[in-house]
Amino acid sequence: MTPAAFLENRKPIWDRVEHLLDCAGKSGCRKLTHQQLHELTRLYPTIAVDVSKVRMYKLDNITLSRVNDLAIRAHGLLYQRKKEKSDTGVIKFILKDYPAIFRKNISYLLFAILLFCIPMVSTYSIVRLNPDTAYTFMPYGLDIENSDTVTAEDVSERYRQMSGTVMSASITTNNIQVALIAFSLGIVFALGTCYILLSNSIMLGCFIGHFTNHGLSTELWYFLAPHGLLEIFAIIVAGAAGLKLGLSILIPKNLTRVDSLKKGASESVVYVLGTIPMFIVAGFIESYITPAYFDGRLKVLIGFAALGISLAYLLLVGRNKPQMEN
Amino acid sequence: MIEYDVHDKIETPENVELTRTIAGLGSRISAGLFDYLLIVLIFLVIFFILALSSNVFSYRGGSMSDFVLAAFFIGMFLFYWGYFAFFEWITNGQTPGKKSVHLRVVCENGSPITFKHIAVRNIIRFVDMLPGMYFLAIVFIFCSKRKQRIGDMAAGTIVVSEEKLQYGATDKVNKKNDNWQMEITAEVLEKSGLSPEELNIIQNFYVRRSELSHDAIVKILPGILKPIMSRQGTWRDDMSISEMLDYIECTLQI
Repeated sequence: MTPAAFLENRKPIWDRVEHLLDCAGKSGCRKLTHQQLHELTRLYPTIAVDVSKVRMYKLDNITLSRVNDLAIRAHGLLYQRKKEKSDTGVIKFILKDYPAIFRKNISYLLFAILLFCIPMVSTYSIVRLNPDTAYTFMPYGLDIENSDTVTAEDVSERYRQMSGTVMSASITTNNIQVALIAFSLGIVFALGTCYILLSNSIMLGCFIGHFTNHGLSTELWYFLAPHGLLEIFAIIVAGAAGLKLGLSILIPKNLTRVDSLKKGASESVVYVLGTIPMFIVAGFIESYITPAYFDGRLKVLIGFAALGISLAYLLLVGRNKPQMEN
Repeated sequence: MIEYDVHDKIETPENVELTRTIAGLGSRISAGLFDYLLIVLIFLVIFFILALSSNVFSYRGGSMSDFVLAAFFIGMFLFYWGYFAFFEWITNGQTPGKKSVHLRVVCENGSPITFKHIAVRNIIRFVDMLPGMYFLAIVFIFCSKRKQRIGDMAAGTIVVSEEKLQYGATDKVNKKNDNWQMEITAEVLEKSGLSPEELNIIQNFYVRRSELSHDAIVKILPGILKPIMSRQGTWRDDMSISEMLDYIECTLQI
């Protein structure tokens, strides 16, 4: 075919495809009729081939960019993800995919738990052995309240002065932010995540040790356990996601480092987003149940129940049932 | 020739290479500035409304101001982490700022972005912003081959320019006379009997002629036309420049 014949033949088809793409607009192929869509899928491969042909005939740049643009637009339109599927997939995601991803990456979680618990226990022991070191670990948090006069009632009272609504909003968003930052900093070869895990665990260990030194351990548990168990667990899960992200660069296995990063990121981001509901529940407990006037033992029970339900969901839901084979 | 634009190649399932222009640092910064300007504006409006409504509600003695304060915390959080993600999600990769300079976030393979891509690139935005003013992002966009910030690398996304391709010199001519398109039509091809390559050379010369001095035209033009015209048997050594220009205009049917 001569270039002239090629242009003459194909021009009407390019115009037609352009018309179809304009009909579709920017909102995907939903605006096209069934017939139009069918026509477009039929014409698109020929347009893609035309890009090569225009290059082969060494035609001008305007023609090339026009056909190339048409092909890109059609390509973007036709090779689209199924939006509807991902919408109905939410339930499947909650009931199956998320717990499965959680269990698949449980080794990172164990790693994060170790990273959290070892510094916490060691800080606790140090503070128990040398009470004064508490002020070294937490120079700001403890200075404000003169520790000799503080009682459990004071702590609770400070909580009760604030409005539950405001508190749950600010605490929840702050916690989610810490989790997202812990994940995001994981990209610095997991170092940032380690820093967040360490600083939180040292703070907690020092806190527990300091209160125990002053004989307030029971009150502390009444105050900490209802929301703290779930909250700390969620922070550790977010840390595990950050560790996975960082380690995917450090240990790429048989992929290139960038490819390994992409793979790690797309899995671990789901991992960290799953902590958001946990933080919302924890924030709710922290602002409405922790400061409430009822038996501390019941509050602790609620805390353990919240953590237990979360764990049961993550570990048990969506497990493949043993397959029935006949 | 210096390539100013970085092009990215997409291989389609039909084994054809499509090219798209990757957005440069400048357009991405201007998109970002636009977005942040919008954020500040929206925020001022929301702040104003909240402040006003909290006054109204506390005047009536209700505890509504608590809700307003709570809404403020949640709003701050959603804006900080969700503005870019939200717009990229509903528009398939275009925040208002990106739209204003015709940019779009797409996957490296050219397909539209999914929720996971959006989540990754916008959570890691936090690292890109370190230590302030998107310093790391700028360094990475400047240095990386496909102009990706850290979040883009982790998500496997690129930011492409959707502006129509324009060619420096032809652009000027296009503006002068609207009907003049540097496009080889079937008609021209047939009547001139030249190959597309030859027509391209002639066209490129014709478009740039106004930028060339007369001396330069005298020097270049015979060199361009001699091989083409002698093949057709119309070349004479004593042709004047205006005759050659006539030939070109006749060939291109102007």
